[in-house]
Amino acid sequence: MTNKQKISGKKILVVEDDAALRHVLRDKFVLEGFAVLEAIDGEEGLTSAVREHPDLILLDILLPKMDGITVLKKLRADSWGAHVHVFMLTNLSDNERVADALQNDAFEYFVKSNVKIEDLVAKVKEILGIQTEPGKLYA
Amino acid sequence: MLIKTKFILVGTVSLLATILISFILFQNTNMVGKEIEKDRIITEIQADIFERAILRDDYLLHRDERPIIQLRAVSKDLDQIITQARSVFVSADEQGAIDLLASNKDFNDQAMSQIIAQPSPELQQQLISQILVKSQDNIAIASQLADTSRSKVMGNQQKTIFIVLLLIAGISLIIMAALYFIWRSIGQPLIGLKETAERIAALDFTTTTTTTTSGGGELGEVARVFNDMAGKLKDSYTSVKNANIANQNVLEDLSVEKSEMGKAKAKDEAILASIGDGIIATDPDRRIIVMNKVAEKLLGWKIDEAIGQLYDDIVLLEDEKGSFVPPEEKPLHKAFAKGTTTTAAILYLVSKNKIKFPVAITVAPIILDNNIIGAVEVFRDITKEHQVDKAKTEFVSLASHQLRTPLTTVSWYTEMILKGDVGKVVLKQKKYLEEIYHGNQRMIELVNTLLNVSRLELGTFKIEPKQTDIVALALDVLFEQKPKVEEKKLIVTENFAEDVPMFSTDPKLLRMVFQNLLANAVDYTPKGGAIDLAILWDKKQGEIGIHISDTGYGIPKNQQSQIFTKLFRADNVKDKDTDGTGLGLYIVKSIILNFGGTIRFESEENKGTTFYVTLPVNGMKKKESVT
Repeated sequence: MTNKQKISGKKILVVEDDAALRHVLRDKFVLEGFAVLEAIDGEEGLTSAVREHPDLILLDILLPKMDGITVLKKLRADSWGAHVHVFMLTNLSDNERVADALQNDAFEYFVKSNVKIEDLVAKVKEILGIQTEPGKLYA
Repeated sequence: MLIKTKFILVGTVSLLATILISFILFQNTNMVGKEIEKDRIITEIQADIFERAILRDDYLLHRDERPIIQLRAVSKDLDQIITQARSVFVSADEQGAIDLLASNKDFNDQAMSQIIAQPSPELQQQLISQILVKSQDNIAIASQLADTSRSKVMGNQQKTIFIVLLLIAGISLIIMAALYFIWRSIGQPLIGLKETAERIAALDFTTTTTTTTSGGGELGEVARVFNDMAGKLKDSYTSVKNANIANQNVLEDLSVEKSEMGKAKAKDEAILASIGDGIIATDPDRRIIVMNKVAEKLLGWKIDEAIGQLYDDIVLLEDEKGSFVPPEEKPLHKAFAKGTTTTAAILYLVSKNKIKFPVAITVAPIILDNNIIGAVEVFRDITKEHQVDKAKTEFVSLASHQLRTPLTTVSWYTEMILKGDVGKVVLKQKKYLEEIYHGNQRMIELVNTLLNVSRLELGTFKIEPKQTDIVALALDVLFEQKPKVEEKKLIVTENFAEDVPMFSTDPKLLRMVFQNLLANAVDYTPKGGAIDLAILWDKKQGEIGIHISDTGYGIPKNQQSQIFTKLFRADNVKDKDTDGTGLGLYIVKSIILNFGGTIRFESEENKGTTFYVTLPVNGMKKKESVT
């Protein structure tokens, strides 16, 4: 696909109900060399996570069927899920939700409209211990 | 002279008189006794003389032994009697008479002895005649004695009667005199006093006559005292009369007042019944004394059930965590304790039927003459307000989410294109895309600002104090401005005091303060200008000072008063930069005030502006949001 080094084995699960955002995230992470799984609601996200064991989960809060906080709680109750890296993505500005999320050990919390997709990628790489390749130029 | 003295006098005199009369009567009795004795003696002498004569005759007749023996016995008896007579008949004459009697008797005895010796008949005859003469002599003497004593007795008796009558007359006079004096001293004044008393009873307070009062003695005293009393009674009566009149007036006034109050009370009750909030009034012992219909409905207790009960038994409150509020934490108790109006808006009332709902409570103590005599509590079911608030907050949350999602889409997609991740981009396209991106960023910033403003106004901002290094925070925010600073070639200086302490504050909100102030300084200073950030520590006041100054456009004097108002932008920057929302300083001020700090500025148009912020280092309390 690109002349990027294949980052073998790194799987990302994107749980986001807004199609446009989900697609752009998928595209970006695929470009970066990740395998990307998608889920369009909380239920699907949870089952997918438990089944596929991704290396990192990008989890929206406002989701149909099961909201992100509940998914997180249930995930943490699972023996594998207790340790998986989770980034909460949301456009909510509720302080309480933030507190909830962090209490349940989400590793990071991002307000989507305030973060660049580029920075998101950098953070993901950082947490997964992937070196960012210097001097990569894009056309 | 005192009545007492008079009585003593009269008594003494009477006593003396009595003694005198007794003495006289005693004397009389004595005398009579003596006369009776004399009488007896005389009688006995006479009897003896006769008996001797008879016995003598008897002897002469019969010349027996027997009469002689008897004669001797009688003679002896006569001797004894004569001796008795001597002691009884004491006057000289009487003594002489008795002597004669005695010598006659002795002669007769001698003569009788001679006769017994049987002398010659002529001698006998001579002796017998001599005896006879002497015997008759004695009889005469005895009679004489009797007569004399009797006439003496009669004389004495007459004298005695005369004296006694005299004494009785004298005593009567004395008694009459005494009675008269008593009448004068006691009777008259008493009548005078009685008349005065009668007059007083008839409410005529004229006093008794002066003759009585000026008189000495006890009654004079009494009269004076009486007059005194009459005078005082008069005063007393007058003042009572006046008081009565005054009381009458007061009663009339009170009557009028009472009817006025009755009207006022009826009016108050009507008002109370129609007030839309619940009202409870308690006395200082926390017993409910007044309650209205709305309170009855909200509490679930009937008014007559609740009156007289303790407030704490009727009004059960919980806090937002659902824990029971103890009496001393209730607004009513605080109002009593502090004596000031107390409000509470974050409490829930649990009614008798276990229904729980949020209430806004205001309690005011009732103060009369500096004493708290009760308290009035007004409370309102604010379920609707809570729901509205909740709806507002949810709306804001949701709105923010709904607004941000499309903004995110534009942002990320544009970013991807600009990065070349979806194909090559020619320069011109890149420029256009960058404009799109920037425009979108402004929208995002606007939404963020609007969100902050609404959260400030709704009070949904939680202040979560954490130990914060303010200098580090400031530097971090300054760093965010680096691109713009470099672009505009601004000179930024930093002045941090050495000993600025870590302090408890909300870093999230403090960051917003720095962001706004520093962004303003950067945005409103033209190319080549200078910005200075200073953080100082005032140990004495316990305050941290933040000074942010620039050499920028400044704020026109006539608009400086409006600079902190919502959506306000000064005219001089409106033309230069259409970007600002006019909300930044409003947010900054709200946050600073929430922190308990102060904010002010100095500015001169086209010269520059300096903002001065102070923050207290202690006493930042964790603020809970309303919902």
